[in-house]
Amino acid sequence: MRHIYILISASLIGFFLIIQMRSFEDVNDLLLRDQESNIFQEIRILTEKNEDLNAEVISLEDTYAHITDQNDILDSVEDEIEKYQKLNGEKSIFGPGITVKLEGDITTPWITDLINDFFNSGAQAVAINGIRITNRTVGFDTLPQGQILLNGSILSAPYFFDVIGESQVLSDILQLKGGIFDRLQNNFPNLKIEITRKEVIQMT
Amino acid sequence: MKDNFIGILVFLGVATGLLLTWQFNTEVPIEGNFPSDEVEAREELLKKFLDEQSYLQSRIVSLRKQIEDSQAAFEEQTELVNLGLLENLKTGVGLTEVIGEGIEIVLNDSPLALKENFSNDENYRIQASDLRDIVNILNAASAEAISINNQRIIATSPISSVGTTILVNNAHIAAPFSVSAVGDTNLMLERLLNQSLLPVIYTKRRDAAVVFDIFKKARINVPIYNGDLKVNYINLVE
Repeated sequence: MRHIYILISASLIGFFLIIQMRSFEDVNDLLLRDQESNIFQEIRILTEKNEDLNAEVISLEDTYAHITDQNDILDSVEDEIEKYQKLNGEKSIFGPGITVKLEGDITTPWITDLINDFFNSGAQAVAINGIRITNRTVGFDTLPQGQILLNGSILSAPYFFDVIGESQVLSDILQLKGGIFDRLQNNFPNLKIEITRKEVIQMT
Repeated sequence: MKDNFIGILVFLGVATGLLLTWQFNTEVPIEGNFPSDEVEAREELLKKFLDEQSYLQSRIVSLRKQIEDSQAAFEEQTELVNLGLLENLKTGVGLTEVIGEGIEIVLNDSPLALKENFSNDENYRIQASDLRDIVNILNAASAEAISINNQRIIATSPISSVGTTILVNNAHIAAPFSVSAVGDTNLMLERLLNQSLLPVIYTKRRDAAVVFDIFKKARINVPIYNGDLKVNYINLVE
């Protein structure tokens, strides 16, 4: 009888060893900086991207079709000037969106990952601690003591991210299981993340 | 003798447990030769999307050029059109080609990544995070313009991965990766050669034979941004 109990116990040990080893694979996925995903997500992203490109083509075709006289030209130039002024960061802007507050230690690569995910989720403008991310301000430096430097300013915790875009979509995507917030939390267990939807966010 | 017998029993028990669990958790691959086979279907679907994407990006570049030419033609006739300001703004957001001296960085997966044991190991492949780190270093070194596999990188450009595929501006790109940057060559080189700023890539190069080579070039062409620019949620403060 004793031998049977030993045999059963040993079998159970083998069983649980395999279960534990398999669970390590799932944990590893949450420690990676890039999200693991599947063919369906790949197709969804490509579909959405092609829809966005198509919309841009339609808009440009419409602009070109209406350039028939001087007044149309003036209007098209002014529309373009306004559009690019919204993007290049020289003028103050406002719009709906979300604010994300990070309290705790975080490293530069993860800050760039988070900002990348904001834009990947449809953000149209992003600022960190009041500094807008544009083509002129976009590189983060890590100083020897570990501080994060952006555009000549040292960024200190807590880090406030202002994100202009469709707030519900942004909020949903960022908080998806296995998404950037999950991965941040797994890599920095002491990090506190707060997300707030706002009707108006202003950036200078 | 008795101890030996118990030892054998324990070993047999553990082995049985391991084998049983492995057997029940292993999925038997379904093989098939029909066109509806999963891999072929994926490839066909992706090709369709990528062909459409390529066409749309070319169309966007062509339309922007046509609009620009029409505006320039009218500028000759009137001083009311503020094309100088428009041109500066377009340069600022990445809508003009940039040519100058700079750096080309070539990255590729490790040759070992082709082997079955390492094909899913991220240490043997270039990841989206590696490209983001390099782009960040180049931006911090004040690069004037950057592209990856001829995709212009602007502030809002997402660089992400879906499985083993990398997307830049949500456009599918494949290894080998060529990162081009126009700017102060010495400053960019100094940053790129600092292993403490790119620890992951240098470790992969040393331990997994991932390709990471940097070349100084007298002339680099960074193309214009060919994606969409959405501003429908943004308003200017008057």
